[in-house]
Amino acid sequence: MEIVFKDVDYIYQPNTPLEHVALQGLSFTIPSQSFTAIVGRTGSGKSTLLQQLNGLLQPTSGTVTIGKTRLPGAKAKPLKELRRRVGLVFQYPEHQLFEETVKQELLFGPKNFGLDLGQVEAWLPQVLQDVGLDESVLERSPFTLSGGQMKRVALASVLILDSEVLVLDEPTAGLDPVGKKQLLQLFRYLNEEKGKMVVLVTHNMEDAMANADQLLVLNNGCIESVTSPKRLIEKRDQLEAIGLAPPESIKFVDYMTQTLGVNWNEHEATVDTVSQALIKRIKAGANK
Amino acid sequence: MIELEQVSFRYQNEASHVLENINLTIEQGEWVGIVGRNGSGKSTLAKLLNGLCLATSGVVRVNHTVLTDESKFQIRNHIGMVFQNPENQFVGTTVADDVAFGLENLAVPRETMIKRIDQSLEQVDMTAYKNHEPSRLSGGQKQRVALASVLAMQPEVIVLDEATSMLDPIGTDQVLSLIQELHEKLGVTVIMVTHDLNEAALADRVITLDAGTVWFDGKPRELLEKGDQLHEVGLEPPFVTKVYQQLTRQSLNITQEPLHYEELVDELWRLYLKT
Repeated sequence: MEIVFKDVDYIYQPNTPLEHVALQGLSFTIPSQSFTAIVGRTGSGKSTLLQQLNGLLQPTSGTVTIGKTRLPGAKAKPLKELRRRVGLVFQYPEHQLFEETVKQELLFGPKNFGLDLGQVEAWLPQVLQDVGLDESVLERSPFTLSGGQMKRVALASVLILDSEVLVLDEPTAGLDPVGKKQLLQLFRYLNEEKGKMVVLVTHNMEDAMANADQLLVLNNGCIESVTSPKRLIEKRDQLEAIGLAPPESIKFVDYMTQTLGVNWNEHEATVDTVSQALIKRIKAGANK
Repeated sequence: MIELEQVSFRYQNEASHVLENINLTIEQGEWVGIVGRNGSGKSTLAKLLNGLCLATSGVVRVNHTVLTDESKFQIRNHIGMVFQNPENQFVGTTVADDVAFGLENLAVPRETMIKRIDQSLEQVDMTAYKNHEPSRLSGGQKQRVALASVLAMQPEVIVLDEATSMLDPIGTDQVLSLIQELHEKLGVTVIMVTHDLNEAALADRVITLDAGTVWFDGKPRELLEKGDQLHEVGLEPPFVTKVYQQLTRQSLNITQEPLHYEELVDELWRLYLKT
């Protein structure tokens, strides 16, 4: 399933004094089974964009085509079908949780979409394990959970639908670094092994660059560029100009090349490549 | 001054403790970072400081007053809290109304109130947005308004519970430099719950919680010295810490654990390359 945006505008409260153009002239393609990151500052239109991906919002003008469904204009039935195929995890999990127990929360979607509940229940333990939750949470109220746990429940409630597309809005914000790493691994696994399209919305360039094969940079509701992580690193001045920070490793490399005159021609800034470059420079310096 | 003596906490009807036998003293004017994995008790600890949670056993004292159901309202005037999601904190229809809310509750006289609102919005550089609707601001702006509401109360202590985790780099920098300024100029005590060790490194002191107990309490540098041990408590050593370890393994001598990449690079320059 491919997602195609063509000249998409989205305007909040059009023709009122509060009219606000959130998206303007967006045209791009998200290839099926790709891992795409949408990056941009807060207020750049990321959240508005992602709500177009499953028809929660529909373009004011232009079209969004998701597989065979075209928006605007889809009828209720294909729209519902679309929402099963495109799972959306919101930025604030507490906005999407509402049931009395975690178990009810997780079964709500499958029930609503008429899935085989026996099968879904049999699959529950696996999904919980995937998102790093213990089965003991099933009987608890989602609102007694910690922020990190709520986030995982919200994610599980979408994973359990086995959607083809996962749209994740800042899915790791507020998680500890180890939990964050685990979830990013899970997203990569779902993408690489299960063939799911993953759309990651984030302002964390570190996560975006390390995981996505395509990056969509949004600025003020417009597409700044559609590019690969490698290309984007080369254009990092542009990145900073629109308020995004390159990963710490890249800033490290920039600083050491400027300050120490380190010769840098590695493709990737890792702990090893950076350390080796530093050691080489220090050895050369001693001989000078 | 905040003192915790043998403090334990568990939620009603739950068997296990979220926090167990915590003993801590936080002096006026300190900047303390609190780190630890999800569920280690960080947020609960923060909530115990202003009575949003009350200790199941043990004593919490703020300026020598024991925190109880009765004293908590009085104590909240001294301790302001800012949370992860600023939206949960908004009550007013305009930015100014929102900042006024806490003051109204304190029955601050109108004139003082107006002065304080203007002053605190000025401090967070949001004066231009005084009559805007809070919900239409950007994340960083919202969080600055939340801070202004807290500042208007003129608290001695500000507790930030992952207050920057939803902000983009610029928003984060804005909030952090504001906190630094308040800390330096007004001597406000800062208690900052975070997952980001780079952020925690700004503190004078870092407390690391693990499964409801204090795993580490000391200077940020000493915490980073723990290197890979940090994984045990759900933390990831920053990039600079990993590079530093690699360099020392290759027998480079560097005088101290770096907190920031600039520090490490400058140090290498001074030690090895400066002529």
